[in-house]
Amino acid sequence: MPNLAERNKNEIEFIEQIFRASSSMLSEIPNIRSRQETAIKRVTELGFPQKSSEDWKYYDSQPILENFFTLDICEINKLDKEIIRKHRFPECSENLLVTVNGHFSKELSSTSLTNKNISIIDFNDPDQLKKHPTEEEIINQHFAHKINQEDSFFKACNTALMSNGFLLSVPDDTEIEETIQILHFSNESCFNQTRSLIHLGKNAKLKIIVSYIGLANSHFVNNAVVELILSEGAHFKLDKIQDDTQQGILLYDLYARLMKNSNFEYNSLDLKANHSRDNIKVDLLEPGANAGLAGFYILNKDRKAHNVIKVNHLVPNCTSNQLYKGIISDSARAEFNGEINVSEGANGTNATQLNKNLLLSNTAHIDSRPQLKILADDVKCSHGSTVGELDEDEIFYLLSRGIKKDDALAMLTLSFCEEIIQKVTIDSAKQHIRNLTLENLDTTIHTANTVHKLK
Amino acid sequence: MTETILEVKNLEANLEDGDKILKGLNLTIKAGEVHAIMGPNGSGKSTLSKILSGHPAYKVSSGSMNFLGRDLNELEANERANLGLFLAFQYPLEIAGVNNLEFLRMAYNSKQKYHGLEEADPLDFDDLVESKLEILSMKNDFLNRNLNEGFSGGEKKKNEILQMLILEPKLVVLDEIDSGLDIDALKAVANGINAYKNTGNGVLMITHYQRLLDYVVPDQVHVLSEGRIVLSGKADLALELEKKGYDILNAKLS
Repeated sequence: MPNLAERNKNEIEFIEQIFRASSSMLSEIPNIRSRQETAIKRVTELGFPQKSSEDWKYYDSQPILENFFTLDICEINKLDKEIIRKHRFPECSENLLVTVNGHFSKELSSTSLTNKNISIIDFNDPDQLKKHPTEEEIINQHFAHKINQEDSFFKACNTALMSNGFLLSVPDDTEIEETIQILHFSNESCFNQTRSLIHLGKNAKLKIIVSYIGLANSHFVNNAVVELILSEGAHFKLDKIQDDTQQGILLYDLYARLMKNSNFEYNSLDLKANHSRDNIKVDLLEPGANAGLAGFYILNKDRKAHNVIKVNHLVPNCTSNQLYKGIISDSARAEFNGEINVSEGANGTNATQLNKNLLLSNTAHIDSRPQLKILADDVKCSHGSTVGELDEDEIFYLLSRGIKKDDALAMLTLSFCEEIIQKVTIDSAKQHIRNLTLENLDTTIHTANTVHKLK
Repeated sequence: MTETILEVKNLEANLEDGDKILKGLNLTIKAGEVHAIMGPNGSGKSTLSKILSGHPAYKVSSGSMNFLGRDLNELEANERANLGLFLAFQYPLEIAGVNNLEFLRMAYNSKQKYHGLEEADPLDFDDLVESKLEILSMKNDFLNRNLNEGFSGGEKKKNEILQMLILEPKLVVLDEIDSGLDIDALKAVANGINAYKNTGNGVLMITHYQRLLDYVVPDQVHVLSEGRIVLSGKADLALELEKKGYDILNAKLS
């Protein structure tokens, strides 16, 4: 372990580097530029996250400091089209957006979408903004919302350092039937700033499936930020897959703001991330809004996954559900740190929260903290968490039908996560998720076998 | 000579680190025979079914269990199943996310593979399953549901019998298959058992009530008490027990 002085030195150096790099990243667009300037101020004010903060208590940020990442802008590397083909889901072949090392690549993305009443705009491109005044207004209103009060260090870093990003905007009363796929690749050892802003107009409907993928053995940090605004009656579904990130670290920050009667469904599938941290914040801002957050993480070796979630019921009569399930083996670690905050006067709130874990080895570790903070009177809230092994009677039931033990364990483990996999929109994605899960299970089952000394 | 399917001798068994539950049990089942075991709560009936089928929570401390010439104690639960031992559970487990039909096919193919036989492809298997569904008056949509998930008590029991009919075991142990069944479901389950039994296999029914025995008539009825079979007789023993209760044990054994 590095000593404290060493760590502090690294932290200061990290911030100084960001400070230096940020001056060359300032946007030409005044409204973005001014927020970037505020963001860099916030970076220095907030300082590198400390373990003394409740939200960072269980997170080991040392690897971020240790592998000192270059902050040089990673240009879009040539990406083999074959790799894109491998990761694209056939159902979305016409609707694909690609970023490489945080840079939105128009060349690698499919363009047919723009004909379908949906705007996809590089919001740091002045020429594009000039042509799209409505979208420019959305960016002015929503990009880096309340940055002067931003409390997320890495989100502030992203705002200060991002060189481009995309706005995905669906106009009022527009339903996009096809699911849009977004592939975020990282193939260089650098601190990538991936940024997107998603805006749905009144009664608009959209479904997106996003994958984060690391290529080669690059020690990248992908610092991804998504801002989401759902207008009245809008429906948005986001499936996020943390695919094979190899040696990478993934920081994912999602901030969703939900207006009257809007509906947000989020499914997070952490399948092969080396080291990931999700920071999810949902503000239910007008009555009738509903948020359903689900997650599944399967971790082996010494992988780590952290889910820090805050659902804020700020007004009456909103609903929210959180269901996170995890399978942890070897010496992997997971954290579920979920909060439901019900503000004063937010009567008629209906909120649930559940975290279920399967621990398949004696050295696997979970910190599960479901929390309720309720300041209103008339609310219906529940929360809970379970940690266990596979059920011995269920294993026996399958064995008693002649099924081999390894197969029985694989079936039961898949069955544990199927509840979440079923929520994913696209069939080929479901199959991909099952395959990755089974791949992980090959080693997991071996460990589980020693835990269940079934004779 | 008739083939002996199961021969249990002086069997003693306990829960791991627990008290002795079976205390010297003897039982022989020959091909073509239907046996019923009755007995007060806590006498060891369900334990017997779990020990025979290889539940890992139970330990055999002495005695022997011979199934078709093999020592059951030497075999894993899945091997016992593949050799033709089938336990219908008193409380079948609900397994979310596992499709019923796929599960049935997996179980069937496990057995085929174990015996070096060809595995069934989905289409052939569908035909096999459909022919068995009729016997139990079950609807096709059963198959597309998850294994026992959200099934009623009766549906779960029928599903156990469906598995039995498909796997065609040599010995079935039915642990309170009649509990929680309405009249129609009881008849359907009995139909299934009667369709299954033939001169080459055996049936062991564990039950509290006579009513199942009206439909599936046993060759022998045993009374299990405090871990041993204390009384055996013909089908009329069950009728007598139904009328008089287990008090007759005191009279008959003293």
